[in-house]
Amino acid sequence: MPTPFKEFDIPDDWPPDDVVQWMNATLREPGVKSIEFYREPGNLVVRIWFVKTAPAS
Amino acid sequence: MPDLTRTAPWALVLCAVLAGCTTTKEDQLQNVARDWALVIRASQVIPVYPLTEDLRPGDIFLVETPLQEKKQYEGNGFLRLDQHLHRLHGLDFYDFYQGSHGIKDASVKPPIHWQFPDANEDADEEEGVATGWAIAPRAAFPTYTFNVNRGAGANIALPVSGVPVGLSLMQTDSASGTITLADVYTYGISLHELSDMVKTWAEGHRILLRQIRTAAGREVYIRVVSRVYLTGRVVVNMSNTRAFEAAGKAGAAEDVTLPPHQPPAGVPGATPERAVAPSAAENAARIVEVEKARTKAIQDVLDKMPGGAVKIVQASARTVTLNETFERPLVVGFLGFDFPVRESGDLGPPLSTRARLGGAAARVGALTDAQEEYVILRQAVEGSDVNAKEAIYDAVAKEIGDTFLTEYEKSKTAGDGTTIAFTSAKTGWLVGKSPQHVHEFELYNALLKAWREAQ
Repeated sequence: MPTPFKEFDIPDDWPPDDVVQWMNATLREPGVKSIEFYREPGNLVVRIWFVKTAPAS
Repeated sequence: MPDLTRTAPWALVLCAVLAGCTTTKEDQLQNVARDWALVIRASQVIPVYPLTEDLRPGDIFLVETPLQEKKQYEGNGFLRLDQHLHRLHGLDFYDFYQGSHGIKDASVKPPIHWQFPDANEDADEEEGVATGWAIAPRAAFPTYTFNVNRGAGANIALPVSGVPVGLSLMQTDSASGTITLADVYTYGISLHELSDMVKTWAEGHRILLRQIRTAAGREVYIRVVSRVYLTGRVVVNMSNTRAFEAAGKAGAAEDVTLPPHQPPAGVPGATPERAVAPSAAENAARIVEVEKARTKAIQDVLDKMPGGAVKIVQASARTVTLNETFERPLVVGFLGFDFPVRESGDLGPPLSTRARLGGAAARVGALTDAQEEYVILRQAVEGSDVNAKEAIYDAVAKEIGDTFLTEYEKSKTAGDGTTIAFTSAKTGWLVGKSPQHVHEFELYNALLKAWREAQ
C-alpha cells in the first residue's frame, strides 16, 4: 500500500530558521499534500501527508 | 569612503537630490551612496558603488561575516568590494552562451570583445562577426521616480553634477523626476561552472585561506561574482512641481551668464524700445530665445565638467531632460555567491549573496534562491520518462547514502512511486540538519549530476 503520510521527530535544538526553511521546501516537494505539527509527550512531531498515488507496479 | 570623483555625475546628482536636507557633508555623501544603492537593490541586484567598468564574473573577493556585512549593507546600502583576491580566467562563456552574442569560439572572452572590438579585429575579419556592446545580452531596469527639494543636500552635488542644474534651468526649488538606466547589458556564468573553478582555485590556495581565516578569528567568506549588470546611458527627466520665480542662483549656475531679465513694458527699468507692449507672439518668441540661451549656457558648463558626457536633451520652465552616455558601459550591480572559509582553509558550499544579505531569519512560505533552483531542477526530473526518472532518483539516493538511501528504498518497497519515495527520503534526511542550505546544496549537486548524466 502507498504511504499516506510519514512522521518525523523534530529535534528540540533544531534552529527555528532551519525548521522554517525545511518546511517551506517540503511544501514545494512533488507529492506532498500538506504537513502538520503536533506535540507528543516529550517531543514535537511533523506529519507529512502525501497525495494519493496508484501503487507502483 | 567611495571615490566620488570617479563616480558618474548623474549618480551623484540623483543621489544628492534624493538625500534631501542633511546636516553634515559626510552625512550627505553617505546618503548619496545609500540612496543610489537602494535604487539598484529594488531590482534584486546588489549595487556597485562607485560605478566601475572593472568587475566581471569570476572575480573573487574576501568579505566579512554575515552580521557585520548585513549591518553595512543596511546602513550604507551597498557593499564594499575592496579585498579583491583573484580573478578566475578561462570561464567557458562559449558553452554557456552557445556561440551567441559574438562569442563565436572559446577564445573570445567577454567582455573584452564588447569593450574593445578592435582587439578581435583579426578574428572579425575572418568570420565577419560584429562586436561591440550592441550584440551583448540586454537587460532592463524599471524607471525610478524621485522628488527633489533644493536644500543643503542638493547643493553639495552641484559642482560635479547635472540634475541640480536642471533645477536651475526650471528655476524651481521643487521638482519630481524619473531616472532611466538605458542601454543596460548583462552577462554571467553558471554557478555550477563557477563552483568547480572556485574550489580548484581554493585548493591551490588553502594555506592562504587558512591564514586569512586564522587571522580573522571568525567566520569569513569569499564572494564570487556570477553575473554583472552594466548601463551605457542614463536619462534623467525632471518636472517642475512648483511655480517658482527663482531669484537666487543654483550652484554651478553662478558661472553661467544668462540673458538679462527684461521687465515688462511700462515697468520702471524697461528699455525704451520696449516702451510699447509686445505682442503675444513677440513674448513667446522671446521666452523661447531666453530658454535656448540659458540651456546653451548651462550645456557649455556641463561640457567642461570632468568625466561627464551630460547632454541637455530638452529644457523648459516645466521639464528638463538630461542624457548622459558613458564612453563604455559601467557595472551598476551584480549577483554572486558566497563560500564560507573553514578553519582548515577548505570552502563550504555556496549560498546566494543576495539571500545571505536578505537576513538570517527565514520567512514562512518563501524559498531561498537555492531552493528555487532545486524546485526547477526537480520539476525537470519529474518531466522525464518513468525509467529515466527512476534511474536519476536511484543514482541520487546512492550518492547521498545514509538515511536517505534507507528511506528511499523502504518507501519504494512499500509501493510508493519513485516521486514520493524520493520526496519522503529527502524530507526525512533533512530533518534536524543545520544549516539547511549546506545539505540542500549537497542534494542539489547530486541531483544535477544525475540529471546531466541521464541526458
